[in-house]
Amino acid sequence: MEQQEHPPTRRAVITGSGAEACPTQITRLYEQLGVEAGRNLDALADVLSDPNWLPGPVVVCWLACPKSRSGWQASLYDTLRDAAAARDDLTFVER
Amino acid sequence: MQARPMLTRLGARAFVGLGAVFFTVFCALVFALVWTLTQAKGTAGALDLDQYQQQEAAAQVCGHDLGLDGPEVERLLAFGEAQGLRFPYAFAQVTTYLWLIGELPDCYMTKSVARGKGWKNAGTTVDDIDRGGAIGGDTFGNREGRLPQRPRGRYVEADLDYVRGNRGAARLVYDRELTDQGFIWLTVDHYDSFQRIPEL
Repeated sequence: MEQQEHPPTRRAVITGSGAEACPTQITRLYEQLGVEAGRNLDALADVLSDPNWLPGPVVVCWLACPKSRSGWQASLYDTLRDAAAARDDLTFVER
Repeated sequence: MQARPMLTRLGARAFVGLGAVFFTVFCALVFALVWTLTQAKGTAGALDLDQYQQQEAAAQVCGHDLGLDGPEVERLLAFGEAQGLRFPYAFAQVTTYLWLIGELPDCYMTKSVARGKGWKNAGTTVDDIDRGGAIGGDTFGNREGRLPQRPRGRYVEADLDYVRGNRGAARLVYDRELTDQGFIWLTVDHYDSFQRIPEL
């Protein structure tokens, strides 16, 4: 019986409490995921919800994610959480 | 006595030669005139709605077949062209429709609907599930706050310039309750910047 090939999982890690600017975090995410798109949160949301732009399976992990978030950190967190809720093949993990 | 026919023959040859020169010059002038008029027509026809409609019908762009015309469409066509859209006619049609009706034309589907039709993996693009369709109708988050603040869910986005393959970076974003007042923006750089459409 022929084994079905699974596409490789794309992984990205966000580290620390995000002292850097938001565009820098987004750029690092894109680099890890192998994506070229607009460097803003709205473009990121668009990319994460597009299976052609970002084929699954995808795992995004935010290490040392701050418990109390505000500003762009809160927006980035919501964007990742919403994308994971909308796609079966996208997982968002916070540690 | 023998010289006269010779002179007559020489005169006739000179006449024919001169005639040929004049004819050649005349043809060159006519050709130059026709070429100039053709070029001028091409420039003047930059805002020819029919020309754009035919071009975009061939490309099967969502919204190209709405059949709207008038000064608003022409103004939006010029605006879309100035912003560098590949298919400004479809943009002008969709935006005018949005302004008049308050919603996107039927060729648009939300991402959720597209996923339900099979848009779930890298190998299946939007045109695979709906030729002539495009993604549109989802909420735009305005996460960067580049548009005026509105309650969540008020902004809606729609793809522009989509024909086949992967989606591009051009989008229409509008306030779903204020389209008749022209609260419609165009972004061609994936939400890095927005241009509000001209007053209609």
